[in-house]
Amino acid sequence: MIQEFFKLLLMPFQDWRYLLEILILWMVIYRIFIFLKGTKAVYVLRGIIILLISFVISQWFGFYVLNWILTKLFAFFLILVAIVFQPELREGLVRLGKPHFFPLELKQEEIDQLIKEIVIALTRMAKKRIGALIAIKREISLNNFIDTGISLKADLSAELLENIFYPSSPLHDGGVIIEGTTVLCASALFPLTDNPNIERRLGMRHRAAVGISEASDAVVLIVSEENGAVSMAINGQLTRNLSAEDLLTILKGQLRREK
Amino acid sequence: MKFKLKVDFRAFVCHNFWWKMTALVLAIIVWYYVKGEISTGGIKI
Repeated sequence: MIQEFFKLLLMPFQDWRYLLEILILWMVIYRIFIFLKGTKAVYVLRGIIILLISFVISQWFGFYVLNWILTKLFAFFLILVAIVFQPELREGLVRLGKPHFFPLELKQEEIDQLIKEIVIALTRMAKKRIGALIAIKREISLNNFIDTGISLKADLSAELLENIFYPSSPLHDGGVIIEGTTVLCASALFPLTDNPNIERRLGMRHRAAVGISEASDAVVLIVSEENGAVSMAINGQLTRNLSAEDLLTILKGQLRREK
Repeated sequence: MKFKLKVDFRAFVCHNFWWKMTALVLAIIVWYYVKGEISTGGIKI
């Protein structure tokens, strides 16, 4: 019995292909975990893992009734996941096929100019504690959110951004969406994140920033009205208290042109 | 240079460590299960 157990345990080492298969499976499962990490889907993932482990154990020990129930439950669970997480799955498939570089036909000088104007505007607004929410579109379309705002289609400048977010301006509520060197719209409504890991004391602006960064690949910048801190949300991850130098470095990295 | 490589490898291993371990355990379970099914004829190739 013990000999058989060890024989089974050492089976993957009998052939290099077995080890390679496990390695590939490991990488695929890890990528799925990282994709789901930080989203509400992670709770469902836990459920699936528990079901899967119970299923394998019941199979090995010959608990046939339990095994039958778990098989039916597992199939039902997979259908349920496909329905409940349809938007996340769709977004995941979209991201899978998209390269991670700045997609627009912009020259490097234009990208540098875009970054410079944004950093200047954010630094000035941070000093004056003017709240701001700016989403920079990359690959994934933001048309759904652009439709909720006031169309501008104006050339980007630091002054324009400051003017939009000035507290008594009619456009200061909501977010601005930038594509290339054009400010597409202001006062756009962004979806709020329901990520439980976001600090409760963070306001709606930060939640909206994380929300739109979860729903797209946009780079989202926030200036806090309370303390003037500048934050950035990318792929659902919020980075807080950025200096002008940090912003410059991160934006250069995120909006780089494909070589 | 050697020191930098060592630090990077450590960071690589420690980053999302428990996710990596869970993924490995799951990969092994899935592999053993499918392999067992293939050997017993449960899954026909």
